[in-house]
Amino acid sequence: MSNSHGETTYEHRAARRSAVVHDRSFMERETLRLRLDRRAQEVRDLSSAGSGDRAAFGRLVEMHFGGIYGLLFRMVGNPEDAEDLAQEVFVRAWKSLGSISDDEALRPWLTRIAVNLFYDHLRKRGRGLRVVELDPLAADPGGREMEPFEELDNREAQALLGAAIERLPERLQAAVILRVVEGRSYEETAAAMGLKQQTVRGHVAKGRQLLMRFLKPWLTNGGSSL
Amino acid sequence: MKACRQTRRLLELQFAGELSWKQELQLTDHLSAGPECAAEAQAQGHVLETLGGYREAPLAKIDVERFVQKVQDRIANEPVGVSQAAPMESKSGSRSMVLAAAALLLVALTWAVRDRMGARDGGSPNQEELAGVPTEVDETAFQAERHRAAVDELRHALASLEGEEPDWELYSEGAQGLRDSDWPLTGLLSGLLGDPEERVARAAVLALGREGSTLAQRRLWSLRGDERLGASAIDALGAHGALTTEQNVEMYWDGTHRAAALQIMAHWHGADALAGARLLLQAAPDRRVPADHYHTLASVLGRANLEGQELALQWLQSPRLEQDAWAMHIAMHDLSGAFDGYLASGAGSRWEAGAMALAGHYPSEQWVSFLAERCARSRTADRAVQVLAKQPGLAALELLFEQESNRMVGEEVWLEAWTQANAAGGSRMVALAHQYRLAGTRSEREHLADVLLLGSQLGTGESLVELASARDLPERLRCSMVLHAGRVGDMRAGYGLETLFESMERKDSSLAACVLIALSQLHESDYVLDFLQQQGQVGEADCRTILTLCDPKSRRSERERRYLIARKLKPVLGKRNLSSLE
Repeated sequence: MSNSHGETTYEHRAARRSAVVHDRSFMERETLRLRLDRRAQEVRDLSSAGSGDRAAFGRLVEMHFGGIYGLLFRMVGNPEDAEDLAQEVFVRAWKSLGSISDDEALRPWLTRIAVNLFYDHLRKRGRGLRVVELDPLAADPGGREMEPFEELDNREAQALLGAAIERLPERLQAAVILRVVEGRSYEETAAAMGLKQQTVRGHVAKGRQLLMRFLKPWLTNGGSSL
Repeated sequence: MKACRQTRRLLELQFAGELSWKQELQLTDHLSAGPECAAEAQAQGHVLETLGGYREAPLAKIDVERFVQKVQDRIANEPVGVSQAAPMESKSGSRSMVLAAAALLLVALTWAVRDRMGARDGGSPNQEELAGVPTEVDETAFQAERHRAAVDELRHALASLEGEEPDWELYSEGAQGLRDSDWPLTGLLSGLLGDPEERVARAAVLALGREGSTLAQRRLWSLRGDERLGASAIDALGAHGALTTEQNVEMYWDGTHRAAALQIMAHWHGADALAGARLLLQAAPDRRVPADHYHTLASVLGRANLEGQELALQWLQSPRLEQDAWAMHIAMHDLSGAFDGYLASGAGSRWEAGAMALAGHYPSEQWVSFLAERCARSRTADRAVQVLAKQPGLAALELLFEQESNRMVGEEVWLEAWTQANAAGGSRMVALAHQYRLAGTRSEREHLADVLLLGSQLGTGESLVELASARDLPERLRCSMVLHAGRVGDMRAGYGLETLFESMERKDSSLAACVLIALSQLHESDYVLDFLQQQGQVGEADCRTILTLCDPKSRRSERERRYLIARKLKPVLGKRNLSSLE
């Protein structure tokens, strides 16, 4: 809406401004309303589930299933084990649910159970049994010419990285997955692992160092040097 | 080495996703200087990118309802639990008091070393944990939420900068709110540069350009190699005059934003231009300016101060540049200060060729003595005459006129040069003829006729005919002038030729023949036939014969045709004299 000289009119600017302000307040109100609704429902469900209401617990499972299953899938690397472990997480949560009254504490608590189950899983399964479709680290890098990391396709690169992560010690694996892959805060990661934040920072730094060392044969191709 | 250790620390922070915008700037700065660290950063970049893909990789489809049902089935017979110290061990059933005490001791020990070893408790957290975790999370969540809200607000404000007509007023209102709340706007905008929505990132570039702080400028500068935002960032810096001379020069040589660099360099003048040209030279690849970039340097130096112009003139002697183009750029600017020094100091063939090129593009009376010397040398005579034709002033024309008898100058070259020199106008020629008259050897008219004849071309025909009317000139010269007037095709000469013909007597038959030949070159044959018949004393058959003889395509020579026409005209002109006497 311009006048004959191509200038934006005052009315046009005012209309744009009020539209932006209106959109903004509407979106904020809606987002806040949804957040509050969800929070209120979670508090109610937690309270009911703590009193033995299985339907309310089912809703809590439904609400947290995605986060827990996703975390375990990235940790164990296959859907079957991830689903079994996720079930175990919620069963154990049910068994101790009475002590949880704060809905804000539920997610870190579930994550912590998941992490501990992951440690148990690693111990039971043993090392090197993670199911990956490609395990280039098992091959001898000195025997053949390595393909540069950036030239691998996405699936191959992810498999390679998954295999490298699996070679990390269990606590380092958990720290890297929670902090770097999942993008959780240090506070949340530390709570989930039962460690101090500073310790988690050290684990992440060490994990980075080891990952770069494991992947060195692929990353040094093409002139990179680590 | 210290910087490399610092970079390693920054890379660790980048891996952990903790890099602040300020640290990102530090990292970018160091990476541009250190190839080893840059290689490590690149490798880490690949790993982080893949980790990002790892996070976003689609999960296997799980039926949530079925999953919930399975969980419900497993807990169907389990009562909801209350806080237990160690549920993982609770499967073992009842324990003796001794074992319970041992377990308590174990828990206490575990508590003592948990920070180092990590808790193995898969069950519910204890009350201290429950009291502690939410508080920490709350504070963090509050700060995170506050930051998200600020970013959202800034995104809304940036929406007014999208499109072709950015509404800065509306943006300023939004940004002011953030400033009032002590948010570092540059930092927030820097964060939005990585926004997945390109329109938001571009608006952030615009806004950063307007910020004007050193940090904002450095952030924008660090984006110059960015495929998505590089050009916008440079435009934003350029629009606010925030690019330094060094940055311009860097952009010019690395070629990423050469057009933008040239646009800014076009505004350099005086000392800025000289400093810029020197930087351009210092930063040139391998310290050698590629030949096709000399015109840029010439253009910059041409706008420099006296020192720059002297430098520019010295470079004319460089064997690596195309002198003509170089001279043209230099000549576009005022060289009055540097010019004399250049002429006085020069020597050698490169200097000579450079000066000649410069004289061609920078005509001046000062070049005449230089060119006179070059006309006297067989190697340079032709080129000197060509350049001489472009020079102003009577001295240059006189020198050029004298070169007609210079046997070192090719005939064609001289004629072309003479024609070019006279195209500027006839006043110089008149002045030259007058000068010869003063010398006293020939009449002024003779000299003027010579000059005009030599320079005969379109526009001088009328003057030639006018001079040919002067009866005191030798007939041979008058004939030449009339014939030239016909050749140059000046239609204004036609009326003069007709008047001249009408005033002729029997003894002028040869000149009259020339007039008719010239007329036939200016007009159609019917017109000339009509003119001849109007004269009254010429029969139609003679008229046609004369017209045939006027045709230059005739197999007869011009001299023969002139003779035959004159024979036909002699009796006619004689009768006309008698009738006029009667």
